[in-house]
Amino acid sequence: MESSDKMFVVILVMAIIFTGVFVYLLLLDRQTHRLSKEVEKLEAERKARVQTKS
Amino acid sequence: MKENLWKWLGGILILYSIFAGLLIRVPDLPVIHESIRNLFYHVCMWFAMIVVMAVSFVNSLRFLRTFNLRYDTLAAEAARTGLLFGFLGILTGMVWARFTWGDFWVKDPQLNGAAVTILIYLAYLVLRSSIDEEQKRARISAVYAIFAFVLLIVFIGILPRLSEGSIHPGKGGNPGLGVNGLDSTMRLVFYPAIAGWVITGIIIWRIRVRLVQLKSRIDELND
Repeated sequence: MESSDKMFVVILVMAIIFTGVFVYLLLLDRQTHRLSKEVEKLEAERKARVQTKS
Repeated sequence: MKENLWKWLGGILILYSIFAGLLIRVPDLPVIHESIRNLFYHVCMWFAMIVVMAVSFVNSLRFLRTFNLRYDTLAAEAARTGLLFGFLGILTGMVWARFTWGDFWVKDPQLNGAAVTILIYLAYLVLRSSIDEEQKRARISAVYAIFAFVLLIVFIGILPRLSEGSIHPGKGGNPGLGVNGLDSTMRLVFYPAIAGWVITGIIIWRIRVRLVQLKSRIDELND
């Protein structure tokens, strides 16, 4: 596997960085999605409560 | 629109660093050979980390001046973003070390300094999560973050340079950014790559801050 010009080390390093950043962003996106869903739900609930009061 | 401009700039700079970083001619040095190109990727992680940690430092200072909790959020999220780059820097460094020095970890002041810095910032997160009261947590962690950044400079920038026998390159003067020491073609890729990763770090930091704002909006609605 170890070729003498060590190009594979560069590929390995790039793979680590880009999968790392990609997975990190994926997790952030999932969290954002979940939270914004929750905000929507809570806002709808609040609206409903205000309407039943009036 | 302005926001998008930065995203495009960061993306284009990184894309450029991938293509140019793989295609340009590099000096053929013994032992490392083509893996010298890792300079464009591995080293940029550390630059991004240091800038984002500096953002954390500045916002900690701003918090202590104003006691506005907004700055506490900015500082904490910057530190979290910085840890991503720290871990990527360590991992890529380990792979590079394995095929250059023969082992994933060698006893070197630069490597140990980087590891200690990461541990210091992990302790920052532990400290934060151990205090429930908001103002108190913000004050204590702001003071800690200021010390943490000073230690980062010492452990990454100063101690490895002072110690003799470090085999990690980047010693003596300012080899990363100085005019001497780095091949001039490589500099044309290295500097844009740094800029691209620093911009990316800032963008990720801002996403994290917006996530926290979403969370506090939820708390508000729940009350």
